[in-house]
Amino acid sequence: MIRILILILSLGSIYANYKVFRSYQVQVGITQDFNTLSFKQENYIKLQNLDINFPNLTGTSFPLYAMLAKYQLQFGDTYGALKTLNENNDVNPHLKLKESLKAEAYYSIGIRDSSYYFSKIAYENLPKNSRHFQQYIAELTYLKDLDQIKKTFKESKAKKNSEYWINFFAGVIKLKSQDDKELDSLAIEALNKFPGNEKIKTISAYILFGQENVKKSYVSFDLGISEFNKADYEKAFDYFKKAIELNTVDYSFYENAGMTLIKAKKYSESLFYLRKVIEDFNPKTGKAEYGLGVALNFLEDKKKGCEYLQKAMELNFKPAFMDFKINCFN
Amino acid sequence: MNRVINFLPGILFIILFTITGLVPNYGALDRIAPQWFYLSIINSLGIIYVFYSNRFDLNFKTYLKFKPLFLLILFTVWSLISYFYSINPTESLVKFFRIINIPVSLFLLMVFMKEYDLDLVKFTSIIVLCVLCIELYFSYSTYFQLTTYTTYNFSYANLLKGATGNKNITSASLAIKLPFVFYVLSRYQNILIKTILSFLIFITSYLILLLSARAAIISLFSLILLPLIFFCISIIQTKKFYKSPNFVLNISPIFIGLILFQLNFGASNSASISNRASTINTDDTSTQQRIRFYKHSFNQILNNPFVGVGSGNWKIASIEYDKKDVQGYTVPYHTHNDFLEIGAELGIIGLGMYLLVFLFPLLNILKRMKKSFLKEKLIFNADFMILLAGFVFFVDSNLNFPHARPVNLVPLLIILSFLFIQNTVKND
Repeated sequence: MIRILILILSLGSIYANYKVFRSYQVQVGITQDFNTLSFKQENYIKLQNLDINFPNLTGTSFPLYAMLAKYQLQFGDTYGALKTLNENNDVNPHLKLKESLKAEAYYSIGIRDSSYYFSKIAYENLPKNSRHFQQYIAELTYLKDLDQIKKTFKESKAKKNSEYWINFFAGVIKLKSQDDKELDSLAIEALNKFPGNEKIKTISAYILFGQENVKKSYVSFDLGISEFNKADYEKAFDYFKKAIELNTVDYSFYENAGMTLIKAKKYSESLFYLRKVIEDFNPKTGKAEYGLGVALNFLEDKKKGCEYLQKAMELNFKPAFMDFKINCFN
Repeated sequence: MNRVINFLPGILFIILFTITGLVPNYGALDRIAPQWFYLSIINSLGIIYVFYSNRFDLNFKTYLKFKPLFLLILFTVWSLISYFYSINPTESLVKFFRIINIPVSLFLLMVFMKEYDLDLVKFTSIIVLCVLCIELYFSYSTYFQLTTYTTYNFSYANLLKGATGNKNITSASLAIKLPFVFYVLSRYQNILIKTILSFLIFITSYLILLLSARAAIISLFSLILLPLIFFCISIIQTKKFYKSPNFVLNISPIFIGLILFQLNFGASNSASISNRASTINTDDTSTQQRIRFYKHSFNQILNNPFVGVGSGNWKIASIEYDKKDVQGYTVPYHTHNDFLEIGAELGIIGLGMYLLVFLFPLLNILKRMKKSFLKEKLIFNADFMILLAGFVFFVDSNLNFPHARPVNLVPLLIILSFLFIQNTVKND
């Protein structure tokens, strides 16, 4: 009797572990899709043909039925997704993926009160999840509840994550009144907190100067570049200066204005713009250091000029090596 | 010829069992899935052979007298019972069909070791050494390729994971095999073999240091300290200093490895021992995270001491405890302490069963050592190997999650079967 029991359990173990193994093979593609947010048809088909009840969780603890629902949503089967979500027991109830997916489904069919309801549950239970945060902020934006958005953001413990700031700004940008100083100061805080983050730079600029002005500033910047390439440095500088007037938070405007003035042989004037880049932004590209080195060398301050060229070389800004060799070796 | 045919299935089982950790992932998300599947196949074949071959006179009572096996069976049954109260019963079933392979494997190892009148302790240890060599080859080949392009530092450690899923598992797998090398070295008299094995200890220690996994480094130091302590005790007991060539040949390669590593990787390199040791503090993110996980599981045990959340369900329940800190959907999958995780999943009854699996062998060995070699010279015999390997597993259990991975469980089951055979031999 014991022998038969052990044998049955051993054979049962082969079957169970085979099913888990097969599921883990399918999960490779699914997990990749979920991480990259690019959902492939072939993985959807594999998942449809997989037994999602044994095992019912992925190797990363995601409920498999929720994965299936996500694919259904991605491939336009919203009602199928809702059916999948409603019919399956929540095998990992604390993850709140079910609620988040329901919020997504209701959002896509325009039932916003349900979307708000589920996104709120998902966010409150897993507040550091940027997807949950984004969904909740989107619903609050829809409700035009700026105070609640601000409150949610202030209470959020995930402010180290730039995605939270981006989602927050994206939510409030249309609701912001011109005299909202609180949002302006948050935009400046974000710029200081994530100095190299291009998304933060753009969205903070939108908050501080308005979308229209920011767009105009980039148009002006592009015109400046084109004039620079035509060697019309006076015109190029005017465009860069206009870009700065419209949007003061992009260091590349100052950088290019400074470099243009060097080309126009206005070395003294260029110092202001190049120093501004280093002192206020310090992007560590080496370009502003190089510009300062060149300008100071022309202004006969060889010692400081060479120091800046050396800094530019340390930052691996290639043109600095040649200028350093010419100007600083003797 | 007949003799060979008689022994072949058992020897084949031992070889196939020992190489479980080398089973690749075959396109699966995590290689534990194909490894458990593989283990279940070889166990079933082993069971069929043992049950339906006339060779074996199976008296289950004899085997069940061996307490670790009995406790592992109880533990498995207890985890199955948790199906009825788990948050996710299916996960309990998945876990049950994995861990049932633990007592089954141990039982088969015990049967083959007992029934064959061969020195299977030495034979199995040599197989373990072969697996160790393969693991070393995988990691060192990457290391030498890497160092032709750049200077090695800690950020490259995970590239040396070799045959396992990550550097922590690799280093734990290497560390637990060192006592097997100690044992085999002491069993040979040939100087050349001893020298080769000493070199093997050196390169294994050096790789553990390169991998920079903190738990394995602690294990490595304990592999120096424990023999040293026992050596000192034996000197005090015998009241005379004696030469122990095996002690020197086993321990000095680790020392040499440490010194060379320090010379190659000065304090400025992130892989240096001092730098890795300095990260074991409460400011380190990984340490903070582990302390948080320990607190959560400890609270779970206090809140629900008798039954827990169910086998395999801690990864679900832990989210509720850690929800304010969970980033994205990255959940606290393991507590990084097997005992706390088992306590949280199966309550103090399950935890007690699992703890006793370690406690009984420890008492058993210490009792025997007290009677014998502590009053004589220190010898690297099977008992001492079991003690050292068991200690390495215990350290790993407190900082990682070896109970979930066949690659880490295989050496544990081998030493438990050695203990069984040692007890049987001694009793006979």
